[in-house]
Amino acid sequence: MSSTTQHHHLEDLLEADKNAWPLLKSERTWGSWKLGISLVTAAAATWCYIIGEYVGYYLNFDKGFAALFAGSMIGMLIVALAAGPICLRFGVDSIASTKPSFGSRGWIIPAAMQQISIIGWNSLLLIFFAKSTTQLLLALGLIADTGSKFLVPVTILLACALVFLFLLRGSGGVDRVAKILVAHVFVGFWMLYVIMNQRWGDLTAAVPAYASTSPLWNYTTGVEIGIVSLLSWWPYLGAMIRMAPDGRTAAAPIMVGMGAPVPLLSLIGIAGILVLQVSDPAEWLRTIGGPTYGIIALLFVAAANLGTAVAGVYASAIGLRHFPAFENMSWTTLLLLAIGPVVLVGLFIPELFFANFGTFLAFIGLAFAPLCGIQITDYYFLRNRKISIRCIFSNGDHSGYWFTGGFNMAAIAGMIAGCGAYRYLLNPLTYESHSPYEYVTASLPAAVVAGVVYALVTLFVNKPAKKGGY
Amino acid sequence: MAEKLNPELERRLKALENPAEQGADYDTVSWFWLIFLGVVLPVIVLIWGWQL
Repeated sequence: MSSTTQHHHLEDLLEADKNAWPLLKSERTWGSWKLGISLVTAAAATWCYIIGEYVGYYLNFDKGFAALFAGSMIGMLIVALAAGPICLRFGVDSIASTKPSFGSRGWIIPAAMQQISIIGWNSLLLIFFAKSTTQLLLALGLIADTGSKFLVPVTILLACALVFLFLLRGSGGVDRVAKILVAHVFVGFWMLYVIMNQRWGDLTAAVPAYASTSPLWNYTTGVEIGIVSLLSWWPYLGAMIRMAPDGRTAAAPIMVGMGAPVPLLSLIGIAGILVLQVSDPAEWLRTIGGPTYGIIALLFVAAANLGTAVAGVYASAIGLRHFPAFENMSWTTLLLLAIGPVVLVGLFIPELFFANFGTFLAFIGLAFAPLCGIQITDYYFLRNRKISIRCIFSNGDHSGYWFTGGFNMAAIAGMIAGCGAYRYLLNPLTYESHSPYEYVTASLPAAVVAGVVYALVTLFVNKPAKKGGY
Repeated sequence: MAEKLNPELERRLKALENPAEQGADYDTVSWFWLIFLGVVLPVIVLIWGWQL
């Protein structure tokens, strides 16, 4: 192939990459290892500490790990089955994968959920980053107390600028960052070793602060936290796995690379909250080992959060591309639109986010569990895996996925039913629950209820009316 | 009326309408990993954890 032809192919790929267009098989060159490393880098971030913290409120170290691990892997499977097949077959992102089930306009519902979710997670990451930086500089005596309140916004802006620069060339930025930052995962395990080695006695004797009187409820809540945390990967998954050529290349990296690191690194948070009443290792490493350990923790926080923020902003920008108003927008402007809300949250309401993380997690489950249930039902049971890539990218009423005015009423009914089921089983604001939550979680029944309602409306309304291209 | 798509997008859609140009769905090996890591292993860990 001549260098001119190669150059044209590369330019076409970059254009498709930034336009959320489907990638051709020849362009999807990430092997299992490359994909796995990128997924690990995205999954392993300081949100693991706060996830671990919430599990540590209800369970001790051993049971906490078991519940969180099981829930995380189940949640990862649900996401892999929901968005995975269409993204892997056609090289598209998660939003595109919803068009057969939500409709040619109805995809705006998952898109809004995706944007809110990624803004929330990215804000959390960058606030963690800024607070940790401030604490460390205070501990080292490099800034006075009065200077700290200016440092948090400055640090957030700096982190956002770095993420922006990494992504200027599209998904290549995700891969480049992953290669460098994957090392932070090993630093995370070292931090876990430090606390286990130095405080093992305290760890095994610790009592969870908010454990209920029902051991089963506590255990199920640990599983639920694991499931909903991994349901959060739905927005990220498609944008990354579309770079792999097929399901065989992606299946194990998805489960091992994106599923397993969360519970493993969350052990840091579980241990921290049980022994030291703080999940952020940047704080407790200073307590245990002094400023040197704190510096190491900060480097880990910076590396972990930047890597994940890069993946999140990329997925967010690709998701925005589906909106007609942003179709022809420059990649640079699109990136700024994706990063902008994160900057605003980080500058103006950081503490509000931190204080309500548990509610944020529960709302993730409330929203994404029904979505996954609908996608799985549609792809495997109603369409028998038959998907039209042309209909995914057609926007008019001639599209096979037009349904009613562009919206699939079955998906809307399924979402309402699934959200209602979740809300009945577990209140995301108060964590009050109703039976049979303690036996089945809230996310799993919500996904099933959404899928069943979706199937019924499809079979009795859409199919007879010949809507949806079935 | 046929929708007018960007020529590059049209080229990609035409190519991907050929099943040979599509990526393969999850195969037997994939399903093994998904079910083992997403169902079997979590059940084992849950039972183990409950007994701790």
